[in-house]
Amino acid sequence: MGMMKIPMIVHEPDFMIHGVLKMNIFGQELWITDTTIGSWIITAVLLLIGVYARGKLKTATASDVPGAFQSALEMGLEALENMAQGILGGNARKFVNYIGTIFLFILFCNLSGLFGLRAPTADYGVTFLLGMFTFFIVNYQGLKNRGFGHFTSLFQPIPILFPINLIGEVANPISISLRLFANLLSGVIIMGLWYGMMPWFAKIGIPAALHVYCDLFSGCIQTYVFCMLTMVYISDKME
Amino acid sequence: MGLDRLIGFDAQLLFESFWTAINIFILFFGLSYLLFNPVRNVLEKRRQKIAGELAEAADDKKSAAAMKAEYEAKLKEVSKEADGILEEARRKAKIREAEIVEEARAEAARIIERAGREIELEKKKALDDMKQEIISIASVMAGKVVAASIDTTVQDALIDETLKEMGESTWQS
Amino acid sequence: MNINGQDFIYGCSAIGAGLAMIAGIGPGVGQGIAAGQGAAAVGRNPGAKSDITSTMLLGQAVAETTGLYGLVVAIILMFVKPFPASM
Repeated sequence: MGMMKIPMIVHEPDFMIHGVLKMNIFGQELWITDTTIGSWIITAVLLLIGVYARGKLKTATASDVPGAFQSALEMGLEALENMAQGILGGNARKFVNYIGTIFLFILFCNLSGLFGLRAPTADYGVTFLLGMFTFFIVNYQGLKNRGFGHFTSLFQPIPILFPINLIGEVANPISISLRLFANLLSGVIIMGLWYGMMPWFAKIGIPAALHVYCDLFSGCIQTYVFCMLTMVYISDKME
Repeated sequence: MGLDRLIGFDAQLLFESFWTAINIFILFFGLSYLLFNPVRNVLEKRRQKIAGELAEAADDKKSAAAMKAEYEAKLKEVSKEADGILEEARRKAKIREAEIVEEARAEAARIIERAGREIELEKKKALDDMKQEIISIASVMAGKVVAASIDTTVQDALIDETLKEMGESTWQS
Repeated sequence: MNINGQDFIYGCSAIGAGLAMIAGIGPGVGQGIAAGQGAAAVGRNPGAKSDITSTMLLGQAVAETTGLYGLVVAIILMFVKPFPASM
């Protein structure tokens, strides 16, 4: 492949995924990338928060007055359970832990752009897996609740609609994973372009507003949307 | 030359997915154990405690209402009893009053009668005394008249005077 | 100035990426309509402001998808380079 000269992209702004460590597995040349390391850091941070929370909650009894941290945890869990209850109804309890896990993971990934990491959700490998998990859970629930009817429902209401129904089923995980990925990627590209191409005086103060929109606002909204849509897809297969 | 890319559909994508899958598994079990279940336990404990306290409060309220009803019934009975006692006492008092009044009236009548009798006796006694006195005075006067032997006009005047002094009714009976 | 086949493909890919971003028109119009309807709904029923806002944001985020597909196509054209010269 001939070397391309696209100076605007290769030299100045930096919004690429970088390889950090090269590995050879099964004859493939694979890289540990900075997004992978970012997701490890986020996993470690979440686990540390969990360890701290468990230490706090182990001594808590029902008659204690909860502190600020415990109140925040309780309010968060209540909000999550209410959200799940509103969509999934009586089946919410089984999914609250998974939804909470991906909610926290995606939220921390989206906000990690504020702390100098390259947001791991701006890597299609991460969001693709999240979409596939949703796909597997949705279809497992469909098989469990409807048995063979899960497949025959693709031929409803008339058999000729089968290709459209199939595409509709397959498009769900791709659409939610691409939505999350593209939102975060657009934020990363805008931030990278701004930091890479603007003169030095434009890098003072102005990026804060961009961070607020691209990382905070967009990140929180997309986290909410991803969890909501996962639950909506699951609840479609429940009846 | 490191890896520089934005997106690509190859083994590298699956490799990143693999690490993400491991992260999600660790997070799912780790956070379920460390965060979600303890928080849910605390909430559940609090819910049970509040439910228990509410049930206890309802029980307390019920027993208090029962006790109140009991006390009210008792109070009503007591006041009825007191009314009965008062009524009885009043009735007895009325009878007693009538008796006392009757007795007093009889007593008074007796006293009056006795007093009347005594007065009568005293009157008789006084009249007798007076008769004795008149007789003695008359005899004294007769003695005087005899001793002086003065004329009859003087004697008459004296007698008249004496009689006027004593009054007519005293000696006539 | 020599332009070989590879350069020509890259240039056409860049033009295609630019054309793909025309997809951004749709979500812009759709999100604007959603925001306008949301504002009208808040005007009619100010008590339900939080419900309306969250529903509007959810709908807008879903409506944004087509624009993001355009972005993904543009990025694939620019960076994945799916058309090698030897084809």
